[in-house]
Amino acid sequence: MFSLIIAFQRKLVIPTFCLAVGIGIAGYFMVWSTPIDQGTGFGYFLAGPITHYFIYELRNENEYYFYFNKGLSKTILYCSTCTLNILIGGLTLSYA
Amino acid sequence: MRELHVDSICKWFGQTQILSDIFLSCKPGEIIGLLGRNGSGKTTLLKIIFGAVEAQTKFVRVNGSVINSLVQSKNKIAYLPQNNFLPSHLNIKNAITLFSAASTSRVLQENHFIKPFLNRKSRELSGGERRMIETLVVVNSPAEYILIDEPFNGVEPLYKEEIKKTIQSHASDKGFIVTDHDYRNIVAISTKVKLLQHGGIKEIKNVDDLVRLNYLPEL
Repeated sequence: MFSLIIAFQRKLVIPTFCLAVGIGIAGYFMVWSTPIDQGTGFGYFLAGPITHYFIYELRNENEYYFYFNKGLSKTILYCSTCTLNILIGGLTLSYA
Repeated sequence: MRELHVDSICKWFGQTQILSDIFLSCKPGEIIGLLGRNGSGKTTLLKIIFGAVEAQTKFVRVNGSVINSLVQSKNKIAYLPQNNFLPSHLNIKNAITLFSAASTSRVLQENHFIKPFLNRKSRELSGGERRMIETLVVVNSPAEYILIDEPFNGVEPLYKEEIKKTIQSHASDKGFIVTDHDYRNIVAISTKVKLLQHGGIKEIKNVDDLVRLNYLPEL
């Protein structure tokens, strides 16, 4: 199951990173004037579920069935996305 | 008792009832060909049985265990959706390894139709090539009941024969429900043929029944 979740998340790594950094930069220049690394840490909390939604719900909805067949429901997959990104965001914030 | 038992399936989309009190059963050794016109609810029915779509009412039991969710259908019911479902970022070898048990994975990787594509990503293959690989992967899954939605769609004749041969070779210990508009191939491999029409299921004895029930044009 773990290797399936890794495979599922691999598709989200780069888009989530780009969006989280984008949120960090936007936060620094436009809204909160917080340091970019801190903004990126907070950005991960948002970016994970957003990229998950756009990439799997809107663009590749059929790929869900690959994981459904292995007993992974949407709830489990969303939980894995949230957990992973809270972890990465938290680590980023702790080093910021 | 070894059986996939489906009962009381009712599905409404808004004011339109698509499925009305559907009953279906499938035992290992059976290949049930499910025909129906576009929009008759074939795909919806398979998704409901698999657990990916909710129904207003449904009862699905596999070998005596009631199945209420996707998680419960793991390794009991496998489903091949209508459109390509192999993750586009994985190569075929990795996808097969993730999806199949180790012994099955080796068999699939040795298949002479699949072997040439092992190191290519699924997005690099044509629709027919992907369809053939996906069908063989799902048919070889550990589940005892396999639901297959349009396996012959866009597939060349050689691949169609391989798909038919593989389904038939697994039919001794698995139950299949197969739906497709390629009724000739469905009739050729099925042990029972059913027509989904006006929300209900009708038993088909021969091709004349399909003409009489307005699924096929009169020749």
